[in-house]
Amino acid sequence: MKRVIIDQARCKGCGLCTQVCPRRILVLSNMVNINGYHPVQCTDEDLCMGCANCATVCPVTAFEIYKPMPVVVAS
Amino acid sequence: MELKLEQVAGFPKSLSEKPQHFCPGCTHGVNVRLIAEAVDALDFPKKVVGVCGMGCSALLPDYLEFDMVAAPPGLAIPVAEGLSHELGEKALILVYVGEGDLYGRGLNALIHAAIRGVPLTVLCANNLNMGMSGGHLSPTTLLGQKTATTPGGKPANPYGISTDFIRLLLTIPGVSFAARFRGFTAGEIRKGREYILRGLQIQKFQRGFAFVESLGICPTNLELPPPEAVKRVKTATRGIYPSGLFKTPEVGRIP
Amino acid sequence: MDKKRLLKGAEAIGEAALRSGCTRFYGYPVPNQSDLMEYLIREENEGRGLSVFQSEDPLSGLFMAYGATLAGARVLTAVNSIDIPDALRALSYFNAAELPLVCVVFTQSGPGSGNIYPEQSDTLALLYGARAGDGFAPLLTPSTPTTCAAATYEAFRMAETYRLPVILLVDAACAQLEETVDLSAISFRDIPKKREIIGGQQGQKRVSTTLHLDIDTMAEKKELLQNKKALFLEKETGTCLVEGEGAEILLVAYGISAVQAKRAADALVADQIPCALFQPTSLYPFPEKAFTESLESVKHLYVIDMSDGQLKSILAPYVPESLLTHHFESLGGSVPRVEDLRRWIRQTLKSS
Repeated sequence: MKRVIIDQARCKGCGLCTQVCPRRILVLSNMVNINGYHPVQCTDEDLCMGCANCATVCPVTAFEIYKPMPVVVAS
Repeated sequence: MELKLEQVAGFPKSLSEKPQHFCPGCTHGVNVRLIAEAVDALDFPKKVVGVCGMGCSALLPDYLEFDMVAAPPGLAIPVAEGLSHELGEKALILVYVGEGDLYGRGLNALIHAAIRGVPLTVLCANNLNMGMSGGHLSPTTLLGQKTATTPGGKPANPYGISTDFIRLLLTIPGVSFAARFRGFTAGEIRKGREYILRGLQIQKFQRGFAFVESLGICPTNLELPPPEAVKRVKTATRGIYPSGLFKTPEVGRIP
Repeated sequence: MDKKRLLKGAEAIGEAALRSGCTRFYGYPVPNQSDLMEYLIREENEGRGLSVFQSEDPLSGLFMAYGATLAGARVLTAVNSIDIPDALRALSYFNAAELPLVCVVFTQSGPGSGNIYPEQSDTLALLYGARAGDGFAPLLTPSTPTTCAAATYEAFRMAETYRLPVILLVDAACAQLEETVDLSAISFRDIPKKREIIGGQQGQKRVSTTLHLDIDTMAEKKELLQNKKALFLEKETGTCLVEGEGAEILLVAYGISAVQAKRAADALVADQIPCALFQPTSLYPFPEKAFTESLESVKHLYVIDMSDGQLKSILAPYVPESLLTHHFESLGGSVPRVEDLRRWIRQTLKSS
């Protein structure tokens, strides 16, 4: 399952999230979205630690972040 | 050991999916999301009524999924006060206004509503200029900041030096909650959400006037790319517009 | 059973508002308006289901009224001559948001701070000012405490039926004039509320905005308002009082000058000079039909007004220019004296 979901049509390419990502996995892509902006993309989802800094500073609410949580299974 | 995915960030229920008109990087978008998240996080069922002022905040009725009133410039507080007279405990009233509107032509109404301790939660978006009108001088513009009406930078004479309006409000006993956060750093935005939620929660018992200011950036009118604008505003406002929680009803309100 | 009561014009407005189901009053202490506010506060303390709020300035008061009306209140508000620009700003917003409001405007002498004595020099400002952005507001002009009470009910009826702001134009003399008012003579029927309110039902989103950035949406909104205006003008044709019929001499006046004109007309009739009086009790809509009817046999028209020809310019579209020659103006805050009117009319009759 995807852990970083980005609504690239909503993204305005401001680049604020690229500055706050501790793993530096967010970059503005070369493609252009429907509104003419370069939307952000995640280069390596496996590196994401789910801090949600990107979603917090995002002015357009383009992020959905899922964080892996350990589940203890009773044996 | 198994791993389960838990959602840590997503789209709030009270936020509309309509595209927003805000410029790229504008902190208005953050404030709107914080309002939606705070309303979603309320742990008691109550009608929420939003009132927004003029300027970039005037289109908020399209973006939030609860009752909204768009007020005339400078008059968001009187309109909200009228609503609160009539609705009383039936609704929580949240006011979202820009600083040019609230501290400029609306200052008289703001001060009097604070004096009367009207049960309102006011969120002021302070982005240091009048954004929608085209980046003109606003009451909180920093000394030396270039605006459309002060192209050579804001001079101290005749416009005066920057004033922290929260300090002004703190002298008023009717203010029961006052806080400021920076709407462009992740840590403070999280605090900001708590401030707005707290501001709404104290209205549950009609505890008086709650005021939150969100210090933001206006990259378009600063003519900087958003990340640069963040750095500029962060250093320029240091010491002038301090962030933090200044007053809560537990310690601040005169009984 | 209602007893007859001695009431000032301002107090009669307050009493009639209470009986018309008014639930809130917003005001700011200025001459004449204070009498209305003080009366309503006394009645509030009697527990008559009305809340009075004194705002920090008239503009705030008007927009608190806006907020309260959005949430379902039936609001009365009052301003003085000097705050007319504020009132007009509010009227424009009430028009745009389609909200009912009754706004009493107590007129005094102007321009500037002027004095607190009566004058009718703000009529055109209100008549045309209310049309900012193609908006409109009915303008009612009562002349005595009894007609003030009747006009107040009429104003609430129009405001609530058409979701409009209504102006009640009351001059300082009429506001202070005391009279025994028989309120049982006025039928205060229930005025139904037909509007959506903000902060009402849980789970439904209601929005009130007067900002329409899209040209098409704004054009639609304008069309809606124009249709409403057409409907209003079709249903409401204006009201007037006509005294005497078929006379060659017609006096035209409204407000306190109509009271004096009536007395002058009576004196002239006693002098064997038959004359009639036409008193418009609403200037918007203007009672055009009744006025043209009463003009039929008229050879001499006397316009009595406490302004620099404002009533004359209101009448101009309905009267041939040759008739519109006699105009009595009384400026600076004095009410036209009956003896002066009588002498003026007799003299002009002799010279013509």
